Amino acid sequence: MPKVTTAAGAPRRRLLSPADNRLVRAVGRLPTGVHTKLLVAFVGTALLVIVLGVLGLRLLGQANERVETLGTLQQRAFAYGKLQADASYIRLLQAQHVGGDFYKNFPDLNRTEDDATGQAIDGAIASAVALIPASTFPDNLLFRPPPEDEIYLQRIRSTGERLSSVVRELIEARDAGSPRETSLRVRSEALAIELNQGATELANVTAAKTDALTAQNASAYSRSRNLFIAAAAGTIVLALFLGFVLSWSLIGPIQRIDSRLAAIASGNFSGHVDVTNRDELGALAVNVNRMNDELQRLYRELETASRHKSEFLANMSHELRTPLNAIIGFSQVLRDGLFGEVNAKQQEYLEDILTSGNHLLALINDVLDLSKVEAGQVQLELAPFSLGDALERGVSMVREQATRNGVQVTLHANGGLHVVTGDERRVRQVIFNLLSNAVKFTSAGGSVDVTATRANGEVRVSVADTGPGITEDDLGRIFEEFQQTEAGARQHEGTGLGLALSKRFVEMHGGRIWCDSEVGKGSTFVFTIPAAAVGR
Amino acid sequence: MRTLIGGALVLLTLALSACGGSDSSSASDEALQREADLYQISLIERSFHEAISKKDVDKLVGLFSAHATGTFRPGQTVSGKKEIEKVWLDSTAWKPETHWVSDHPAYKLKVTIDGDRGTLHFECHFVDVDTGEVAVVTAGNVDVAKIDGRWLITNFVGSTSELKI
Repeated sequence: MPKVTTAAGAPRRRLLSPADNRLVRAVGRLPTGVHTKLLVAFVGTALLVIVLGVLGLRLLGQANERVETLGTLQQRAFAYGKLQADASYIRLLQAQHVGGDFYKNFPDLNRTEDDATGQAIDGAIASAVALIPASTFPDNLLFRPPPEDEIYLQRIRSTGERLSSVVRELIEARDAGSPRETSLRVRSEALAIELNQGATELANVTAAKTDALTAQNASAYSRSRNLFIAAAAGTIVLALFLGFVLSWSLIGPIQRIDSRLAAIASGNFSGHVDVTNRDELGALAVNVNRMNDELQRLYRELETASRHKSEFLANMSHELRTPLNAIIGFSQVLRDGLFGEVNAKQQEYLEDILTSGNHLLALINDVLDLSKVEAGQVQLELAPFSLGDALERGVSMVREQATRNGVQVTLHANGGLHVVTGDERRVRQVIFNLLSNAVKFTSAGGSVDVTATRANGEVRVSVADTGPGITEDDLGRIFEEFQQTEAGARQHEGTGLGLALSKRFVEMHGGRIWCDSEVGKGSTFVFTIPAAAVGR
Repeated sequence: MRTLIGGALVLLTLALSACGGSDSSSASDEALQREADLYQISLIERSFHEAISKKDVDKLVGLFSAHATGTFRPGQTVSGKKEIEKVWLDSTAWKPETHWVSDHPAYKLKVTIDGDRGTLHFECHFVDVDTGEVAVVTAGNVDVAKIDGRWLITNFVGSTSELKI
């Protein structure tokens, strides 16, 4: 059972990742799909916005209602203020003609001479009072007073009517010289006071209501503003909160799955992705884990099969080489006439046997080498050797064939190469492979240039030819086993293992090998190895 | 995450507090204040009659606001403390030979109040101490206002009265 890891083969996530949050994981565990979760989050956010909008509209509506009420109140306050002014005016008129003993305290007032004026004043009072009851009706007020105002208005109306009646009586009593005048005047003044008080009370109550509503409006505005700000802030926070929780309930599993896939891609099958989601991501994690297990099983099977193949090839190569040595050896003996003369035809057939045997032997040797490398049985024998000598020896090995093909081989070896540490036999094998390929594929009149340099602690050897070049497709596979270029396949030469082996040997030294080529102009094979290889 | 939740709680608290009720003074406090104001206004009447009886014009004028008005005779409405003072100094009550004691029937006192404004009605029965008889019966219709925390007369209007129960 593979151990459960969060990100095997990848950098560990920070310990307090939001994805590890309990709430985030709880949201992930909800048994519903990602689509539904997203829908719920979006609908939730939209609802919050709608609630905010409705709240705003409601507050706006309330403010509007208050403004309308305030407008009506102001209209009422104005009308009642006028009523109050009229009542005050009556009282003031009465003061112009105070009866009783008042004049005794203020002797400048000459009652006798003031009779005509007093009569006019009383007439003016009668006219002013007569206007009061009429002005309390809606048609004169120009609005319909509410019931609470109507109580005051009825009182004012009633008082006004009584006052009007008393003033009329007063005028009659005055004209008749009746002793009732003073009593009627006292009564009329008392009624005027009552009228004035009623009108003042109504005006004050209405003004107080206006003030209260204005204050309430200011307070309500402040409250509404705070409520709206709080609701808006709450909505934003909740929306952010929803977004945070939901996004991390998705991002967390995706990160874990991504880490696991990266680990699988790098060949690490030892872990499992830990995702507790019960949605599509949870299902994906389960499938990733299953894929991991299946790939691990297949990988192990492949490893076993590859090892068996290598073992088989190594054994078979050894078994094949033993009788082949006998074939090559005895055909050589026969060709050289050690057991008697052979005719020309026999000579030709013996040459064919010998050539085929050597080719087969080379193939078997390459297969054996490759098998050993794959089976991990090849150990580099590292020792100091002269790379320059190895290059010269390689050139001399192909020089005869080159001369025969009309190809010029030139070695440009830097004198500073001196001694490098490596497996001389394997390095020489690489050099020979590259040189023999270059000579083989270069037409007469062409050239092969071998260059070796040393820099930054490594040596770099390049073999450039003027051959047909290699297509881009072939460049991608020439270092694989049993792969040949189109030209190589046409020549029916080689095994297709030389470059694969060369690559393995170079990489075992900790180096690299590659090829630059242009069709029609030639190819340059380059390999580098550390000047002091440690072997791999 | 904790910061986020903390912020959300603070905002919710603010929202709830914003939705809370407003503070208003209790009805009992208002009633108590009204009683106190009524008493202060009624004191004007007491001081008024005491000032006339003792011919203390400063005390009398001190009951009026700076720009108070007064109507004591036809077509002659005066304003300001100085003019009001002159009217009283010219009145019979202030003459050297006059010795009146101002009496006031308390049951005829009328006080109304609305916020910082109110009205006051009272009668003045001036008794001549030399004869022991009521010399003059007058009345006053007064507007009052609470100015800088003190109830003062803003408008005095002369009024008719008679010795009648």
